[in-house]
Amino acid sequence: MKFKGVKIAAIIVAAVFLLFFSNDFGLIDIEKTAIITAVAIDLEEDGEYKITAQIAVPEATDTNTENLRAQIAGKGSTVGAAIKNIGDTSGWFPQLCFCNLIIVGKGFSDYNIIKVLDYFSKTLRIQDSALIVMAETDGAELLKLSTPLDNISSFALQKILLKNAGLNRDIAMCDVKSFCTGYYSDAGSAYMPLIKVVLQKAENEKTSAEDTDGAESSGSAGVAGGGSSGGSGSGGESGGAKGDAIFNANTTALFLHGKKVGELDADLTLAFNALTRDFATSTFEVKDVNTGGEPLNYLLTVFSCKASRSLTVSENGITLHVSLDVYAKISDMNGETSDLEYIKNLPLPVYVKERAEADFTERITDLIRTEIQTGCDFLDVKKELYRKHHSYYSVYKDNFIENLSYSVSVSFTGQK
Amino acid sequence: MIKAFKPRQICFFYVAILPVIKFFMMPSLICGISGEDLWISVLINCLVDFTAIFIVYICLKDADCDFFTLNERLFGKAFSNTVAALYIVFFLLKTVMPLNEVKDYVEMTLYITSPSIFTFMPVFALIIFVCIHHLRVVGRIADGMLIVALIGYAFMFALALPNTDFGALLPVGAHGAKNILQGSYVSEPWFNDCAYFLFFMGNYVKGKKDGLKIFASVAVSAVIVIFFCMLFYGTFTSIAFRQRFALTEISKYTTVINNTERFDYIPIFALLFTAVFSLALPFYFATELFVRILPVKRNLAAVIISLPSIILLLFFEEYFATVENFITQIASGFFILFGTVFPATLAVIMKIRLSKEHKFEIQRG
Amino acid sequence: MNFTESLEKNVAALKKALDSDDVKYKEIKIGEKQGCIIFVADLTDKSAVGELIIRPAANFSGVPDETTLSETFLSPETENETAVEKTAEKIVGGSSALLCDGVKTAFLFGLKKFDKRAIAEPPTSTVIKGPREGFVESLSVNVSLMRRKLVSPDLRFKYLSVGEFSSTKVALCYVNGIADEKLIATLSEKIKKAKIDAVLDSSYVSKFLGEHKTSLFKQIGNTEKPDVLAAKILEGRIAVLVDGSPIALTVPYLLIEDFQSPGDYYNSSYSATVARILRLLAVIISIYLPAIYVAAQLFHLQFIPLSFLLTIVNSIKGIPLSPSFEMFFTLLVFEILNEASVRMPKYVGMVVSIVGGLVLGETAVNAGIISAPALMIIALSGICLYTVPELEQTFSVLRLLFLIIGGSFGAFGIIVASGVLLTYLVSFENYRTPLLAPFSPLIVKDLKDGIYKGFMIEQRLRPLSLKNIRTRRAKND
Repeated sequence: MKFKGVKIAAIIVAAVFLLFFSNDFGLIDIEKTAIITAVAIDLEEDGEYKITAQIAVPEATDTNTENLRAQIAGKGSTVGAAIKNIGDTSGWFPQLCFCNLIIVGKGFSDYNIIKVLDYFSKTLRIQDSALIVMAETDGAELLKLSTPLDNISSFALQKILLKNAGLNRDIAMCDVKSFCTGYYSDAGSAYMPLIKVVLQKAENEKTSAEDTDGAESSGSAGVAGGGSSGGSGSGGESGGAKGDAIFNANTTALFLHGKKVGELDADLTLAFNALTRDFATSTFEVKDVNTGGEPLNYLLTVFSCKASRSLTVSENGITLHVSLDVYAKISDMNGETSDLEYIKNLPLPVYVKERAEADFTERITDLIRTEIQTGCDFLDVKKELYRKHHSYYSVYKDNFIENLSYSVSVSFTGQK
Repeated sequence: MIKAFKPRQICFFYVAILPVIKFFMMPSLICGISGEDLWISVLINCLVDFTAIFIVYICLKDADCDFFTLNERLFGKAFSNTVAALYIVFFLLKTVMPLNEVKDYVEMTLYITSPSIFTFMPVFALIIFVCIHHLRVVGRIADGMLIVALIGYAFMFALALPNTDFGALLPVGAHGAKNILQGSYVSEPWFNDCAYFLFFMGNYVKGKKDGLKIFASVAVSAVIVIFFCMLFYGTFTSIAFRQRFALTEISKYTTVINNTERFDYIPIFALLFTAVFSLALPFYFATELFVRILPVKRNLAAVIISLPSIILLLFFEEYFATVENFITQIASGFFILFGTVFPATLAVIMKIRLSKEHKFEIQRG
Repeated sequence: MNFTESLEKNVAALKKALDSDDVKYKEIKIGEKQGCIIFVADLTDKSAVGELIIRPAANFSGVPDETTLSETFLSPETENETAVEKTAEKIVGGSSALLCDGVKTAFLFGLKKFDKRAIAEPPTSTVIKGPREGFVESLSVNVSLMRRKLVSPDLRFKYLSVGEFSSTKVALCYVNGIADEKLIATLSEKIKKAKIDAVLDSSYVSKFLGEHKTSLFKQIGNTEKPDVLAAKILEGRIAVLVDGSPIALTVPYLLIEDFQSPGDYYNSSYSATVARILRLLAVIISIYLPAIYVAAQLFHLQFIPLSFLLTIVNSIKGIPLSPSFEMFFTLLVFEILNEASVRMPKYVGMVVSIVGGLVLGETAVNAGIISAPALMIIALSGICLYTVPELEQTFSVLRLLFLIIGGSFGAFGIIVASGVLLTYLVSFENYRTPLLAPFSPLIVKDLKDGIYKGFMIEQRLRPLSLKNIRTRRAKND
């Protein structure tokens, strides 16, 4: 019996060794794997989907050399088929687990976008924490662009989308899960950043002429902006000869039942973020403040921001109450710094406070108006109705937008 | 008689090993029926389990042997063997859903290309290895796994919390009693943990406030599962019912993951490590009963008990939808019967018989 | 066969039993009779023989008999023996024998003298702070070291002899009133029953003491330091000292023992705790890292951060070996270098290190045979392994096993194998002491000297993981 046991053990050990050394279980060689870092989806004229995958191609000769980029495209009647087509035509196994960015081309503006995004939500081959954006151009074009921010354009885009996470809220970031959650909610509303390409050609030519070794000089040269509400890290990029385009993601595309129904501009995106996310440490400009003399511009830094949205529901309709309490300090101004209140960083000057409150009240009002106009419930009114006023849900679930009125209250305080 | 367990080990068993197996498919399955009220469905199951454990404990706390041995002593070999055989079936059915879901989980989320025979089947080596050991190994595994499970829970919950919208669980009870109860019913295969308690009862070293400790641990176990379900629904809200593998899903949306890659695999692996023991337990207890009713060696019994599941996974994979339907819709009644109703009822009858015996002995002096 | 009254016959009988050239026979005159001293030249203190036996014999007058002879010799260690075979055994054991014409008894004198290694710091367990003396090969020296550490009548030694040809002296050492008497009896019985030709080292005895003959894990503790042994027997363990071995065995054994360095007790509790956590982490890294690396490359690329994955892909381009074979090959080279460096003379060892570590590694990477990450992982794993040198061999085998499982079945295989290992370890008992105590079964009070090293004054109890007669430590009574 004991000998039998030894024989069985020996056979098992031999089999495991054979497995170990042969690796003969249909494994895909790491070198034949395409490490996809981003995909762009475009709608072809024939109704098929074209998927362009950006692949990180390592440099074989030197581990310190920066990685090259490559794009492979595949076509198919479904997203899955198009991705399979990439593998079929290139011979590389498309590895999607590193794909952190999905770009939807402009062709999908009038299309139920969930038809393409649902694949990424369902499959376990990709992380549904991947960011999604819509391009103002074809998605593939965005991937092909050369940019000074990074030699892989998708990484550059991710830098903009993920920059200062939790700090600078000028982009309405969205991932696959958030989009699908919104789409499949009762309101059927979702949003994602709209990527605009800012060409820097003239400056690049100038820089190239001055700089013979442009690739290395791009580094951190000339990165400006960022602090202001419209900057977003991409806005002020000026140096670098490697690329000629940078990205702006401050606009937000709004979707209702998968179709694009509107946009939030940079100001409204900022207001939206102030209402829905942690807004502390953000900065924003208060322009043309009438101080009695020449109008001045101020830059305020938010130290804390309490936003609240609540509903009052009755037979007469729904009222959305939005309030925003901001505690901010002045960071900069474009006038003489003889202003004592500014120097000592005392309570916000009345004229700055009033202007900031007026600005934000207007922005939030516009935001609510946009919701009413587009029908895209990005302020989660229907969700709130369902959760906290469930008895009225059946009454208003189909006409909550029509019955929506609102009140906005914004207060800014400085040091007390 | 040397007792196999210490009360502490029973507590750890409930806190560390049992909750994890409920983190895979069960939350999404309930979500599909009772939506945001999934936690109420789970709560109902936990309360039923708790009640059954409470009754069994109160009735048999003075017993000096486990439920099955006592059953044989009081009702004879024929009855006790029939009960044991039914419990073998119970435990084997209890393994079907967890085995399949963990197999799918491993194949779909951890491996991309390998066939299941190389990826999942090694788990049977562990199952058989656990099964061949003495009962006290279960308690010791619980001791050893506590820290692993606690790290897994803490890490995973901490990662999931910032992205959880607990408001999504409102309004409470909107899906109606019928759906909530239906949610409880389909998730029966993952509950009915009172069946394990039948092996512990009378088989542990008695100490002070044992009952309180055990009830507290069962309650903590329930809280962990309910909290996980809340986190799960709060993370996915309207698409929760589509997320098959809650365990991998809920922790990956934290901002930190974007910067550091998937370090959430640390808690996932910690919990998966716990889950493989959780998988082995029904097999263990089925083997334990098998060797009690049939004169076979434990090694052989372990192989015989594991064989149906191996065959099911290897050759009948394509029937899984039918099997899932059978287990969650039809067999759920069987689970309630043998996991809750039967042990509680029999424990009460045993208590009455024991009291009568005791009185009779006093009368005889 | 017993001695007779005839000296001639007795000497002839002994010569037959001890037919070896190193046994010397010196004839002397004892009063009116003839006598003969028999001894092994290289084991005997000849000047002591001259002073304590020959001189008193020469001064003796009259007819010697057993009683008068016993009173004549000055040796402090004297015994009488009537059997020829036993006398022969004692002579080769280092005793000197005296036979006298007309006397049926042999007088045996304990006048052994042979070269001993000086007491030195054991190379396997050096400490920065703390006692530096270590056991030597002489049992008597080791016993004296223990007597000096624990000056108490409760320190007991029980002598046994084992080995058909070696008759090696074995001493069970324990503290009376603390050690479990049943365990002492069990150990004595096991040692007495040991059927072996010769015991050349204490490891021979440990093979008889282990209850699981085929186990990969250690079942018997060991130490070369008297201070460590004293601490261990004060916790209720029983030590086995073997003549000819500088390594003392201790029973029962807990796995955690080898994570506790002697230095931990001489440093602050904080640093000791940190050191123990580091050792544990290092062992985990050492066993799992190569396996996880191979499994991640073959099955789970998603585990590897993208930037590191690109580095790996860069470095493995053009390497002819599969990831699993590459790691196996690198591990093999490491083990060969390890084996060679241990066996080689010290002056060559340095060369091996340079050739192996620098030249071979660097060249292999440059030649594209192995990749730099694989080499780094094996090197890290190898270094980590030596944080717990006592268990290096066990962990080395485990590392290989896990590597093969990781390469064949991936991460889930590693999880399953870890499960099997845990089940094995928690069910493993030696002398009814669980190997994984105080973690499984959990013994909360013993956790004060587990991975966490509590303050000395906190440790009022001896480890409850071991069976003690007196669980409370004396100073806190």
